[in-house]
Order: sequence, then C-alpha cells, then structure tokens
Amino acid sequence: MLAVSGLSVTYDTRGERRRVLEQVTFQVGQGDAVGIVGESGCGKSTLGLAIMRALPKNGHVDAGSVVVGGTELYSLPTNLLRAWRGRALGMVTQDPTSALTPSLTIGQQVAEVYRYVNGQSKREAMSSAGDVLAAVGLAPPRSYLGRYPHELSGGQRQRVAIGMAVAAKPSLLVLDEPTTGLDATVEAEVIDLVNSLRGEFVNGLIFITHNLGLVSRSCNRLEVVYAGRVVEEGPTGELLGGPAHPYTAALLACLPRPGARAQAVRLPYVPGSPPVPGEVLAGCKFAPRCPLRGEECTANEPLLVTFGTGRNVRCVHPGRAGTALAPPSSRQKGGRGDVLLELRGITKRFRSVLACDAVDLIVRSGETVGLVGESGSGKTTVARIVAGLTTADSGSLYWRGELLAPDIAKRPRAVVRALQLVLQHPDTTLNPRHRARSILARTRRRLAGPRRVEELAASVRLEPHHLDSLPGELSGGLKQRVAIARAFAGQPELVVCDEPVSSLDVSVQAAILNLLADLQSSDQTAFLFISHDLAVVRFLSHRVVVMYLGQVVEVGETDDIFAGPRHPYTDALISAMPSMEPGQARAVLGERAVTAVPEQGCVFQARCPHKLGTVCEQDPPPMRAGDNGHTVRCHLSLEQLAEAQRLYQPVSGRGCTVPSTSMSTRSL
Amino acid sequence: MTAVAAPTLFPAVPAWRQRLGALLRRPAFSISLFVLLGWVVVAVSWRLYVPYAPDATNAVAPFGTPSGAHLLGTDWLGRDVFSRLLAGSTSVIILAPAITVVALVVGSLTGLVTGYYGGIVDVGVMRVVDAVNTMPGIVLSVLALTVLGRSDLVLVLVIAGGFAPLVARTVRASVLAERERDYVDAARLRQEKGAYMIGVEILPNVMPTILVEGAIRLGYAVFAVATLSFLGLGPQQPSPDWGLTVSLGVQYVQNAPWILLAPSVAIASLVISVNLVADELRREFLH
Repeated sequence: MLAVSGLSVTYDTRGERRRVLEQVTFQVGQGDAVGIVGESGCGKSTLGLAIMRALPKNGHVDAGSVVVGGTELYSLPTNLLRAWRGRALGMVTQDPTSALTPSLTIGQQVAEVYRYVNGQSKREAMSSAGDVLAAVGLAPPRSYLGRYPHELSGGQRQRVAIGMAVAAKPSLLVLDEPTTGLDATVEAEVIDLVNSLRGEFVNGLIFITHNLGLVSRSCNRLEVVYAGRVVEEGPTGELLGGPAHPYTAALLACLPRPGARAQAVRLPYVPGSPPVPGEVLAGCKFAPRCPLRGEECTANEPLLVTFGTGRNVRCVHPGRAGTALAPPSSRQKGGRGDVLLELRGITKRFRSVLACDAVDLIVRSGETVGLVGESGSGKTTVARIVAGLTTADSGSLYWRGELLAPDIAKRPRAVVRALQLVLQHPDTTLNPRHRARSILARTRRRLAGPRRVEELAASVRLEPHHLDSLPGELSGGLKQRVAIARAFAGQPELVVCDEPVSSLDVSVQAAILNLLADLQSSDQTAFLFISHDLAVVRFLSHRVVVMYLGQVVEVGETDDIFAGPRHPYTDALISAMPSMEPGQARAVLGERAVTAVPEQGCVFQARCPHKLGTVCEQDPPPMRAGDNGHTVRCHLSLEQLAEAQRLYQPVSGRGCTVPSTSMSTRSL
Repeated sequence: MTAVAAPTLFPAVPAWRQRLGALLRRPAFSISLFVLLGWVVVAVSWRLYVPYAPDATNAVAPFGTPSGAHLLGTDWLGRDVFSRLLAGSTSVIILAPAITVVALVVGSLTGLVTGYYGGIVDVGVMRVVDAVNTMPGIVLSVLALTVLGRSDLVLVLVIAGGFAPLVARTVRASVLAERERDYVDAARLRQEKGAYMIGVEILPNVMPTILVEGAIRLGYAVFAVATLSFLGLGPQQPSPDWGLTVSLGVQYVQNAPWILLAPSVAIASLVISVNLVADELRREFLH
C-alpha cells in the first residue's frame, strides 16, 4: 500500500547540504501499523514529512520513491498533488494547538476537508464533520462544532486533529509523536482511539515516536531509525523481545523496568548522542557509541541483512546485541534519616484555580519522594513554593523543624544552599548568553560551594570542554547536567527536581536518572522528584505522593502504592502506564473536564470509576490509613479499594480487557 | 571503554557572525549599509576633498546651473551646492546618532527596570509613557525648542525625550518575556540582587531588541532633525545643513531646483538606507 524505496533526503542549511535520510526502504501493507522509532535527531520526522511530500523548502529528495496505492508521489504534477494527497494521506503532528487555526471553529476546520477533498456543499460538509467528531469520541458533536480550539483541552484538540486527518478516509495515516505533551491517561485514550480507527477510516498507519511503550501497544511492525538509516526492522513482538541491533537493545535497556530500583541498580545507557546530519563517519554510524564495536565496524558501512523471518538488521554482528550492554551494576543502599522538610496545609490559589489545597508533605534526609499527577495537579506549584519562588496563600514550611521563610530572598544563605531546585525546561534553564563555566562559577561563589567548577562538572560527567560552551551549543541532556551541577554547587541536602527528564530522549533520561541516584548515594542528598512518568518515579523513589487538582490523594511507600490497595486515581495512572509487556494499557478515565475543582465532595468524583454516589459529591473523603504510613483519601475503605482493583485487574498481564463501564461499585 | 568524543552539535562559527554573513548577502541590506556608511565617511572627511569652501560666496555666479565647474550648480549666493551638500551631512550625522544613543540609554533603562520589577512603578511609569506617546512628537519639539531656545543640546534632548518612551515600551515587552524564563528563577535560587538580574541575566538577552530598536530610531531621528531644521529650529544660516537648505531653497524652486533637490535626495537616501538596514536587522535577529 505504501512503498518507500531508496529514499534519500538532504537539507540545505546556509549553503551546506546535510543528508538526513539515506536510502530508506520499507513498506506498509494493508492493515499494517508501522512504528518508526529512534532518538531525536535521527530523521524520524523528516521521513514522515517526506512521505507526505511536505518537506520544508530547503529539503530535497535526492533519490528514491514513495509509492502510495500505486501512485508515485513525487512524479505527481503539483496541481494534482493537493487533491490526491487529501484522499490518500492524512497526518497528525505533535502539537495539536498549532495544527488548528485559533480563529475558526472546530466545525469549520473539519468541514473544510469535506468541502475541498470530497467536494461537498457547506451544509453536507458540516454534517459529515459532526459524524467524524463523533467517531473520534467527541460526543455529542453538535456541542463541539461551534467551539474554538482554545475551548478544548489538549487531548480534545488532538482528537480533532485526528478527526481532520482521517476525515477523507485516507489510505494511510501518518502520526508524528501524537501524544508527546499529553498526560499518560490522555495518551492511553488517544492511542485507543487511533487503534479503533484502523479498518474503518484508514488502512495503514505510520506511528513516529521515541516512546517504545507506545509502539508496542499499537504497531505490528517496527522500523528502528538511526542517523537517517533503518538499522533494524521486523515484527514488533520479536523485535522488542530479542533486539538484533545494539541500538535497539540500548533503547530498550534504558527504560526503567518494574522491578528495578535506583537504590539498588544503575540503568544501562548509551553514552553520546546521534551524529549530526551531514557529519562524515566511516563505517557503521552507531559504532562510536556501540559497546560491541570492533575494527570491522568502521571499515565499511554494514548492509541491511536478513535476520530471521521478516526481520532485517544493519549490523556486522547481528544478534549479538543482547550481550552488548553490561548488566546493571549495583549500588550501595543509603539510609533515610530525620525529617528535613515539612509542608503543613500549603494552599495556593491562582485567581479561580486552586493549585494547592492544604498540602501536607514530608521529606526525610537521604530519601527520594516522588510527586506524581497529571498536568494541572499542582505539582509544579508545590515545587516552586518549596523552593521559595512562589509564596503560598496559607500554610507553613518547616526546615529541620524550624519555620522557613516563604520567599527565597528572605531565607538564610545556609538554607538556600541546602535546599535547591532543578527547573523543568532544559532549553531555558540556562541563560543563553552565559557559558556553562561562568554559570557554575557564579553559583559556586554565591552559595559558597566547596567544590571547584571542574569538580562539579566532573560529578555530573560533563567533559571539561563543555564548560566553555554556550547553552545553545549543548544538547538537552548536557544542558540538564549543567543545571543539576548548578543545583549541587552548594552541597544541598534536598534538591527538588521538577520534571528534569521529561523532555529528554530515553537514553539521555537513563543517564540523568543514574546521575541523580549516584549523587544521592554519595552525598546523602534527598530528592523531591516531580514527574508525570510513573515508571521513572517507581525507579527512583522511596515514597510516592499522588496529587489531583491540588490535593494530595495518596501517600505511601513506593512498593505499597504499586501493590495496592490504592486510590482510584493512582490506579488509573498506573493502568495508563505504557509498558513493554504484552497487552494494552487501559484508559479507564474519562478525560478531565476543562472546568475547575468541584465545589464540594471528592475532587476526583467526576472521573472516578468507583464513585459511590451522593456521598462522594457532598462530603470530603476521609484519610484512610494503611501500613507504613500509607494513606488514601477516599470514601471507599482500603478493603473496598483492594476489591475494586482486583475486579478491574485482567486475568493475565495488565489491562488486556477493557472493563465494562457499567460495572457498579455500589455492590462493593 | 574510553569516553566517546562528543560530537560538535553546531559549527564553531558564532551564530551572530553567520547571521551577519546572511545579511550581507542580501542586496537591500548591503546596498543600504554602503550608502549609510558612505554618508558617515563624508560627514567626517569632507574637508579633505570638498571642491569649494561651502561658505565661499560668488556674487557673479548665483543660480549657476550644474556644470563641470559646479557639479550641482550654485545657490542664490553663488555657493557651490555640491560642496554644501557634503558639508551639510555633518550636522545630521552627528545629531541623529546622539539622539538615538540618548533615547536608547534612557528608554532601555526605564524598560528594564519597570519590566523587571513590575508592580506599581511599572504601572505609573507606563502611564506616563503612554501619555507622552499620545502627543505628536513634532509639536512637542517645536514647543520645547521655542520655550527653551534652540541649541544642539536642547534639540537632541527634546527629540530623544520623545523617542525614549517608545524604546522603553519595546524593551519592557521583551523583558517581560525574558523574566518568565527558567534562568531568571535559577538566578533567584542563588539570591541574586535586582541590579545583577537586570544587568547580567536579562540585559544580554534583550540586547538584540535594543539594537534593532536603535536602528529603527536612527531612521526617525534623521527625519526629525531634518524636519526641525526645515522649520528653522535646527542649525541657523549660513550652515549648509540639509533641512535648512531645503527650506531656504523653496523660494527658488522655479528657477534653480537643484538647490532644493540635492539636499532632499540626500535626506531621502539617508532615511531610506537607515530604515532598510533596520528592517533587515529586525527580520534577521528578532524573528
């Protein structure tokens, strides 16, 4: 249905020609869903755009062809291209906000597809638009047609974008990182939606992503792309089960496994980053980062060779990948000590939004506390209040039992030194006009840090030459290392980390997680680690705090929370975790309404699958106490929660069956 | 295993130099820059090659048509128009940059301080700025020059005073955007004081805005100086200043249009080239 053969693409940047795709060949058959995976900068998105014949002006196809349903895309005359492409291809991009025009209603934008591609009248097009919106789960469609994009949540916008892409029933749908930036619960729903559209709306699917958990759930074939080349391809299950290329193996090994804990093991990871497009490397492009490399690797570029049925791999040592990475090394367990930080009744309101509602939280020395929740749950506000960047409306902070000034400017220097924050965005956390060295030197001087700048850099595994770089010359992972080194300049006792790895590739993420765990075991540093990624939180944390709409709904030891019984919201988050294991993540929650916190009763009532009835709507739920300080804020008792989860849990694996929504919890 | 050599993500040539190279390849920019720099050179060095003394009158040859001896003819006193054209560049080439610098310094400081601190100071200052902006600059300048008496210093301060609020508003907007970035929070996390925040953290990042704003203001400054001297509020006779010459040449435009045309074209060439340079700079550095 789609045949890409020998596709080579070059970008012209300021007079320099850089090859980004080299001889890419693959097919998508009828009913196939093909995942294209790799780190950022490997040419995944370029491949998607080339398949759409939508490369930016400076991109050129040098060789190869893209054949969709028998038509060669690049030999079509431009006047026919638009109409043909509208019928044959659909695309969903990463950012649904920029894919929709803010000044037109949803209905107008979706109807446009029917008017231009299918030639329908205005009225017909609008009713077709309503049908497709219903198909992508925006019901009743009538209430969505007249709305503007800003009136929808991120997940709803992505549904509209998917609806527009499949409106003309294209034979092939290209999805480029369609769920990046969405919460895990919403992500699971969007993936379910895409899977449900196969067959009825589209025949084939290309799924471009860096998230291996996602492709394992929705794709039957994978193309692993590195440095613009396909390095491995094959059926998803076999390929993830026994990767033949060291790169695939490395990407898999970087992911924190359910049993692994940062206190015990170090994640294996691949050093370095992909070559810059245009960089000339002899032989295998992965060789500089490959643990298996030998002289034979740099002599000639390996060809794509057959490896088992339906599998190809571009490696001199096909199949030795499993032995490539050293087994995870172990680490000394550090102990947990006295209470360092305590939050009591922290409340913060931004206009009408209650970001924190009487939040209580404790962090002990040497301990990692994971703070999880969807976006909008108030996690970042807690981090900023702890760091003194935002002041709470009410409630108090205690540092080693003493009252802590809410504003950082009024805190004693010793406390500032001991309590630091790693900010969220690696791209803006460093001043673009300051070199890494001067950033670290200034911080060290201000915080009277004991270690020299070079030692600091070495402690986060920065090379000395990185110190003389401007942030713009550093990759995201390196920037985040500088930011971590900065937080550690004054030998802190507690570091608050606000989503420090969420924008990084898995290989880089693994390196940063190792680094944090190493620093903890060497310096006894405590972490308040904020993340929406439960796999990461489980790997790193001793204890987990779950927030929903500004409220702490559950606190407990990591193992206790993952074992249950747990809050229905925590359960939903855990169910939505992408996983390498067979089966599918479940989307158990309805998407959160854009409307604010309920006036009374439980904050989670609107989405709770176990809602009891009026008691949940009227009374604030009690705190239920379990073992080891495990507390759950719910009207259901712990026994009832355990029972609810058991009923919800599928027989084998996790989440193979979608629970019937009509299940009554009243019988519990 | 030895450490992997880190790939250089970006070429070693700094970004601004690449951008300058790209700019110079654009004809609108390079030609305008050539004209602009040409006038600067003339303003500094005209004494070295001026064919006649600009003030040398010649009673026997007033209103001389352009010829080999007088390239652009002579004026009502028989003075060489070409020589006066070269000499007349000096006042505008000195006054306009002076105005721009004063406006930039005052406006940037205001914008940086109000943008960074916000609050009541910001509201107060910005209301004043808005009020100043609503009054037509030229009327204000005429008023001020008439009341205070005309001198180059007053001229510079008056025009710069009209421009500074505009600069302040642009810089403030840029500061507001920078203030939201994580690196500012990072500096707060080590208890940096306001002066350091503004001067070391934020200023370098709003510098492109300030420079582009400067280039735009320079164009307006040239125009403002020419306008005020046309109105007789700039340099006085017998100065060869362009605006003054245009206003005096009006009465002879029927018989000797070259007297008026030469400085008019000069003003136009300067204003257009400054504006084009500013436009291209803005396109390259701010978008």
